[in-house]
Amino acid sequence: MQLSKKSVCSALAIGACALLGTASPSVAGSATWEVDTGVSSYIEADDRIKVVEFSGAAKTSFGDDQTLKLKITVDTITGASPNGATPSSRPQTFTSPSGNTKYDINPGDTPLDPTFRDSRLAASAGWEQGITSMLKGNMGLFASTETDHLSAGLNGGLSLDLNNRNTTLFAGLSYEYGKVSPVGGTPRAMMTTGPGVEKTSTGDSESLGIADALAGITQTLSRRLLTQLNYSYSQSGGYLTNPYKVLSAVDATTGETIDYVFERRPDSRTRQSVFWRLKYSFDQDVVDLSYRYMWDDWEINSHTVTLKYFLAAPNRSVLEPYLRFYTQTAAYFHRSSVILADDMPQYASADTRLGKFDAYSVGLKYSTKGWRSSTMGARLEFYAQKGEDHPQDAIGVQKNMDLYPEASALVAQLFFSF
Amino acid sequence: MKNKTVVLLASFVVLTSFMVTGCSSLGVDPWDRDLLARPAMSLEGNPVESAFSDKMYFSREASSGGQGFAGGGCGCN
Repeated sequence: MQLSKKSVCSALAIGACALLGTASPSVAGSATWEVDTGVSSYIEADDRIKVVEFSGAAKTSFGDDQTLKLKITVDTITGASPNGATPSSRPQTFTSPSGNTKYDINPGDTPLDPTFRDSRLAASAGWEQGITSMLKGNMGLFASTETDHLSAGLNGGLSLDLNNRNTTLFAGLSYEYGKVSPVGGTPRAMMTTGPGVEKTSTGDSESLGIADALAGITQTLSRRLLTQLNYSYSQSGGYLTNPYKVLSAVDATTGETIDYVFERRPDSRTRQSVFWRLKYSFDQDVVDLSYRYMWDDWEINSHTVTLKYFLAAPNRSVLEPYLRFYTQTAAYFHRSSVILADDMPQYASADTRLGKFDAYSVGLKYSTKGWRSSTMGARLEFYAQKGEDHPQDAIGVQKNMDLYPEASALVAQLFFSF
Repeated sequence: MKNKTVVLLASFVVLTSFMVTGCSSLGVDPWDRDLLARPAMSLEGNPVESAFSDKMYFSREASSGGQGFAGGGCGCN
């Protein structure tokens, strides 16, 4: 049996509408689809994480006031990831999260867990509906599944056009439920494991919830200039710990690793951010500048500046140079290690992503118009992250170790839209 | 922390109010939207490219969202 593109899209539309609980529009008519597809390869230096990701998004409109959006993403992750322990002057042996494998780390090397692998399938559907000529509503559903994590959620919002459509106000809410099923079970946190990190499991799964609110305004300032300003508030609760990350438990004087503990993070987190964006059109080119300030009750503050330039090239092609700078402070419970003689802190994590660091990105995309209305594109990005090699909490031999080796990644992407 | 939140929220409300009321004379007529209507001026962009970037930064950094919901969606962080 052969299925035409139109019949497949119609079936998808009807299915998505049923899922979203909206009336199924007449899709037998002249609805056309805009489809964006892409493949991305993310490779970290030093044989660390590799991610291959495929994604497809489709959008269609029914009349002037109804739009359906669908998206699906599949990715696979392999490679080695830092397990949180510090380098040591002695060889170290770790047990993988499943408990089935052991891996050895040479003196002075950053402990990396080479058994890390996962695959993910994520899908979302969204519906936008005109309510009046100036007011639109939208709602969406999304779900994602991987070996040890399942999440599902819904979102909805309203947008209102004002001032001859030069101003748009919008607000939305989102809720996401997540279920974490750590490989090998949930580890007992902040208790010594013994050399080799033998895990004591305290359960099979944990749950978390994330509620987000977003409000913003976009304003056309002139024929060439528009701006956007958003405020977002996000409340997370539940199991926010990384079940695979440990900390070294070290001697208070020498800094030598004696034991290990699994990390524990607070079970709630409140994040807020302000996002500002400016787009300016020259006769042919466009410049796109944005800034985000984020702060949370884990004492992480971050600044992100992104600059993108759309440079019109011959033969209906576009070159897009891209620059991004990111900097963040450390979470209040982030530390390189714990001291064995001390009472264990309630919360501690050595995850570098919660530490203080700066990150830089440089990218370039080339896209060109193809057959009919199709567009093809290729993009390269280099990402580098640099933290504190020798943090203030380093003790004894740790002062001679690189506790935050520079991490970098190369991203290559291909896009096709029709 | 609370003071900073209040100051930032107040700034956001004031700026938004200013943009809605004070800037009501800003903007263009519908027949002057030629440059603004070009795909490169869209605030949405390519959804696939945005998703790739959001996922990459989310899995390497402690911040997410801003333009959209912060969310989570995967166990990569």
